Amino acid sequence: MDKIIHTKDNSDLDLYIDKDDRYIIFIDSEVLKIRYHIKKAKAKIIYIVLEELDIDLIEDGKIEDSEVTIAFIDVSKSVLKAQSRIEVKDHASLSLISKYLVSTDKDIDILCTNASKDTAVAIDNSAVALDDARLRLTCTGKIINGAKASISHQKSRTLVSGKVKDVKIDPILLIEESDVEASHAMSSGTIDEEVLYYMKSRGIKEEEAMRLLVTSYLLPDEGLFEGHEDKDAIINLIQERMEENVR
Amino acid sequence: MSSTLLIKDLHVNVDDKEILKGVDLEVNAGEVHALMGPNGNGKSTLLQTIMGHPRYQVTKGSITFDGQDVLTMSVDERAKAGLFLGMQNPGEISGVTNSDFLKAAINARRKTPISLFNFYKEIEGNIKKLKMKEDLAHRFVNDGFSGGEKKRNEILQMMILKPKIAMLDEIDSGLDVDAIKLVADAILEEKEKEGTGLIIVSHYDRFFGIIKPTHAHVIVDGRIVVEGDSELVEKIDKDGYDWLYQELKIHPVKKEERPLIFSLGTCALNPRS
Repeated sequence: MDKIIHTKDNSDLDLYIDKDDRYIIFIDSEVLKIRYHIKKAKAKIIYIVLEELDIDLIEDGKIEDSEVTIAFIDVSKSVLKAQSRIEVKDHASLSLISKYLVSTDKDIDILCTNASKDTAVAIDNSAVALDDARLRLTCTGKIINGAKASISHQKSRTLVSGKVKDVKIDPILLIEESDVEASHAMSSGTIDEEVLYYMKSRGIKEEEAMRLLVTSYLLPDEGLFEGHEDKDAIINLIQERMEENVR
Repeated sequence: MSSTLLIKDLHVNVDDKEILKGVDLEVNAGEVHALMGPNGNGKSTLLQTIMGHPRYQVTKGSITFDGQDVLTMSVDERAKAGLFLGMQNPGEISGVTNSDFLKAAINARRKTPISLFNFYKEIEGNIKKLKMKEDLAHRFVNDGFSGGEKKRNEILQMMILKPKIAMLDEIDSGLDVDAIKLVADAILEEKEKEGTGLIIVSHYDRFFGIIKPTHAHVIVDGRIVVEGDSELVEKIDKDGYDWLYQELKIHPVKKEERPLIFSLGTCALNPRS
């Protein structure tokens, strides 16, 4: 079942999911605590930040015996302080996708814990840092002792486009068990001057070329919204806001 | 309107080294200029300089296009004025689809954005003409394309953007015999239809045999040392460049060969030997 939630006027959100539900949560409140417990379900939670706010977000999630995708898409000019703690147990798997357009201060701290055996976590973070961006992204994958045959992979990539204030990405793995599969990867780069030249040689202005490159880097895969009746409208909304904020 | 690209006494440095040492060239609408010469002697440098690549620094001379000073124009302004460079190694733009890329390029030349219907009508006919894969519009620009697909994509862009002067840098390399004919025919058709002036760099007589240059120029060591027409192209295809070097007592620039460096590393050394 598809559910769309706007957090406006709410500072707390509690979700218990035991069915194959899909949530799209528009974060439009400044202080927010989200707690969720997902059990025996195939679920998807997509957070979307479009409004320009000063957000303080705490996420506390428990995932048991489930197949879950969580996506965090922030294409706003919001100042963001986010702390995310997610525990994955009992053969559960989690795909965590995050996409940040950064032109202000964003401080994100993610901890995903494989808390029992046969659990899997895959984290994929992408960020584009524009002029004046200050981004601190700490992403920790933890596998506790006894969580045998568990998997924890994470990758973070950042595209720096402009004079940023500070960009710091910390991928961390804390492994307490030996029978596991784990990795982390991080890349950071600037826009390729040759690509920019190629686009300009077709008459595309530099600003438009940058807009195309940034949106292509951050626009979520359509598959993330697969089956959602408002899929196109939501993707358009994200793209429009992203384009506004890249200009 | 007839268009003229006029280059006078052009000197160009790349990384503080002079590559072009005084090039004069005039290209008018409807003309086909073959630009020939050994590798590393300035052909691509000339084309990239006309297009405005930031790595190429003009130290002397002028480039004008229909009377406008090209050297004061940005790269995108040159493109919108009607110059086009089909590149030897076109860039790959992962994440940007061909349709978004082409739409942006078309809309850059229009006051109001092209409608989706007209856009697809425009590209689909040309995709068919070039026998490209139907899903091209939805693929990322040149990402994962074979050498031949990239070159066809350059020609597709040329056909859609309809430049007044198109410069094609080894556009036939990476194409098989059938594809060379297909691409050459498409270029010729475009020239006839739009009156496009062409500057073509190629090492293959087969390509020039179809395109039939009206003018030919040979660049050696940053200068145009001989000019002619399709007969010159045929002679070079038959005899190479040595006769030119002897007649004119000139030497081509040889590509720098980097020495092969081997290192065993300290761990491979036996300290007892």
